[in-house]
Amino acid sequence: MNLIDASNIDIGYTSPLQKGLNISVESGDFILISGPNGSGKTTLLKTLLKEIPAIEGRVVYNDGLSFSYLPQLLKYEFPISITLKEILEIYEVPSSLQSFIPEDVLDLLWDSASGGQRQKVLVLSRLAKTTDILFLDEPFNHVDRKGVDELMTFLLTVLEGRYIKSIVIISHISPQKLNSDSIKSVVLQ
Amino acid sequence: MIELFSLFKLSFVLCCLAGILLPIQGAHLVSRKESLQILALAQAGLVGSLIGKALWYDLPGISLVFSLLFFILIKVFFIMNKRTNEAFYIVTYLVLLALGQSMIAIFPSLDSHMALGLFGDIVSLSEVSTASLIAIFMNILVLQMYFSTKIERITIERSILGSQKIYIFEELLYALTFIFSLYGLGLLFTVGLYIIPCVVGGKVIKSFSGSFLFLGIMGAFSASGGLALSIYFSKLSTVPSQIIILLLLLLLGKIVGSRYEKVRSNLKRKEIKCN
Repeated sequence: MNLIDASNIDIGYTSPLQKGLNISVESGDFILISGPNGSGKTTLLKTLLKEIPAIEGRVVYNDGLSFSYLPQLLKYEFPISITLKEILEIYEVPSSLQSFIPEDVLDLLWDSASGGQRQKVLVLSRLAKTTDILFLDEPFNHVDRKGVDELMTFLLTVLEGRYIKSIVIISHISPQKLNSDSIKSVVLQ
Repeated sequence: MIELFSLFKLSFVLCCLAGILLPIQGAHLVSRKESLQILALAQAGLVGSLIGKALWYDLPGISLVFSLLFFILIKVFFIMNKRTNEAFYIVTYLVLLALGQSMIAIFPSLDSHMALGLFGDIVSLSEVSTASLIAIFMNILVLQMYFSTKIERITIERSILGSQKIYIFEELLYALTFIFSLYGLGLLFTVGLYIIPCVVGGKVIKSFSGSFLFLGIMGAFSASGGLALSIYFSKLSTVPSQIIILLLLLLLGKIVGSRYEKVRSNLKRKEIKCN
């Protein structure tokens, strides 16, 4: 069943950045949209998120579809102490989801956590409410090689555990680097 | 001396309340990288109050109304202008500072009002004004606590994820706190208690909720302690005493906190070695 169906769409603001794109998001999909800077990755994401309309063509959404969006993480240090567990509590993430992160990691302060650990916490913050599709913008930024693999395993577990129907990621990382056969790749030129 | 202290009992309550409320709100704003915006908005509130006084000198409460209007006007300007950054806030602050000084040059009688705006007049506030400020701050504090989860989420979204989301109700709470604090306690106290606690003592306690509690307690102690000192030693000025006590308390907290952390990590290391 298609959750989102975009056929032959032109995306952009005033002039098209990409023409004739076809993208469908199905239940169980793990989609990676990659491409060089300026290729329109973020514009495509914003179009799918209904933030900007497609210049040409139509995007069809399944009835009652809900989605969450996790923007790009900024390099930021809190001037006030906050633990990863406290962030999950602020977002009222259920304990069943909190258990994805080991207890000792939950006690880490935001400033001492690795890029991958921070991303996992923020992904869980988006799953606190029932969501069909999770859109992630550059989730592998500020994450080292080992962290990328861990984050990928975590995202696939969340997807396989049916905590979410599908995941759409935009990233400058090429799909080959993510070592996963489950990824549906969309490369923008 | 006891009689003198009892005369100012409402002022002590007001100082305690403001001392708790301002660092809590300030911690959110500083976390959202709005420290310089606070400075510019404080100056906007002060200039608004001067304009109100210049136009209707004898009308009671007019400076408060103009102060709030000017504050909101500049805040909306910041929100609408997407290109606002640190340099932009400094420019706004300097322009408003120049505007305030020009007004004083034209209307010299505003000089005393400007001084009140800078340093506040908590000891000379009427009982009715002090009680009203207590009631206002009490209500704001309750609302701040009640909506804390939503406010905390906005802080995280705005700081870590660069969201531009605005929660109007929260902005209104901050505007009211800011303006009433400027009116009763002055610019130096208000800006000082908004920014200093989070910047100096934000990482003393290793948890979010614990940090807010710590900052609130430090704020209340320093605000009431500074007032007590200025009552006891008549030559001491209230607000500078409050700010100095605040800094000393926070630095002391920082030293104690880092010592405690050292001892704790040593104990943990020993425990791991034993295991």
